[in-house]
Amino acid sequence: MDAGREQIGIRPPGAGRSGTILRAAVFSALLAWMAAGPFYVQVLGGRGGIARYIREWVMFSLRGMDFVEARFYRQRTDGTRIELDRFALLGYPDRGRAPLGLRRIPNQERTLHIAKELCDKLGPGADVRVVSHLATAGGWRRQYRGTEKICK
Amino acid sequence: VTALLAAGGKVLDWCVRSEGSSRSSALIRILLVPVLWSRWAGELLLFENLEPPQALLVFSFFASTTLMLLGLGSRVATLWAGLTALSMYYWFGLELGREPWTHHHTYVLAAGTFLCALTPCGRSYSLDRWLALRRAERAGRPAPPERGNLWGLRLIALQLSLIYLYTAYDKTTAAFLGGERMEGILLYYYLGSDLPRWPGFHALMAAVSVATVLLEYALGVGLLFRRTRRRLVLPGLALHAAFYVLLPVRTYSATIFVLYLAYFDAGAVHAVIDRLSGDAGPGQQRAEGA
Repeated sequence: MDAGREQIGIRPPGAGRSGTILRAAVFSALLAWMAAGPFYVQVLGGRGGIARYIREWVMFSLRGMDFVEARFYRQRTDGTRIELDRFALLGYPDRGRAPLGLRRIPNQERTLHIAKELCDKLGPGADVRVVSHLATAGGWRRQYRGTEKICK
Repeated sequence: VTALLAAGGKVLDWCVRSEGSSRSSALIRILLVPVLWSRWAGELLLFENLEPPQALLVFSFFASTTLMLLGLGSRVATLWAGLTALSMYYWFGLELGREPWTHHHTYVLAAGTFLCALTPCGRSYSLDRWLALRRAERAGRPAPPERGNLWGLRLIALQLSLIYLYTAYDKTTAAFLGGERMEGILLYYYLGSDLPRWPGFHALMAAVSVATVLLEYALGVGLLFRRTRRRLVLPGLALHAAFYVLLPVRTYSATIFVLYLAYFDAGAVHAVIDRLSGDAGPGQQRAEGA
């Protein structure tokens, strides 16, 4: 017998036939669970009940969200802008030594807090502006447009 | 109607009426064990799990996977290990709230182990095989063939393909294909809140996103067919290698690497092993047709 060759379409006689039927039944049930389960949850939007036990295949669709992409500027009186290095201004020689909340800003409140810290560092009369977006499942959602004066 | 029935018959033949070498099944059985251990052994130390349900889980996990590795009562041991891993996902994870055990990489590992029990995984590279050879030798019978029904391998292959198709479907959105979600993931893990200003960065992210989704759709369908599989195996492995290095996928890529064996023609795997071991047996001749 050739041990390696794959034979497709074997027809076992007698008792082997019931084994094939049983295999086909188990195969169909498992395939239905694998295929129809995610279809119910991901395509039809099924929630609760049995949906809780169905494995969705949504790798990283819930990662890389709920943080802010931000740029901080100093606006001159003539309207031109200089981008600020928030790490240097707040006393960190490089971004690697800055705390996580400064490297990856978690939310709008923290963005505002950092901008106000920059105002304090730059001194009275400074005009700090922020352009920022929140990472969401639907892409970037604008938060600050750079039109708001942050420093009081 | 006749053509449809004939096509249905061919599909049924491929699914449940195929026989072939048991070597790829045995390799999956053996290689899954270190992946199972690397994922769970560190969390199943006995001194941290002395309460009865957890202690039972510790025993069940280590006993079943050890027997699985040795190939003693291979299919029963693999079924035991698979059910143990599934209980960790469903019972300890979903019901009792052990959240890290409910991730996709644990499900793939548990489901892959369970499905491996449906393959002829004990007929090669196992103590079962060694005992069978000894029995045959004593009885003066020829060595039992390293063959079996391949329906378990078909199920593993289909499970992998469905993962590709559903994950590609999940990414088929304007936000992902436009590159914004890829930028979000890149920033979250690597660049923090500082979006690069390089010219063409956004276009690059959009191109990478579209390429990823197209590749996943292609892998989902193409790996099932011999002609397209040849072109897709390396991009598929490279994709998972990139996931492994770039993202916190835990044992997901390692599990997929092992389960990829289910896509290959069992005879071709047998022939490659013959060739590697210098055995110019009949399997080697079949490799050319595989």
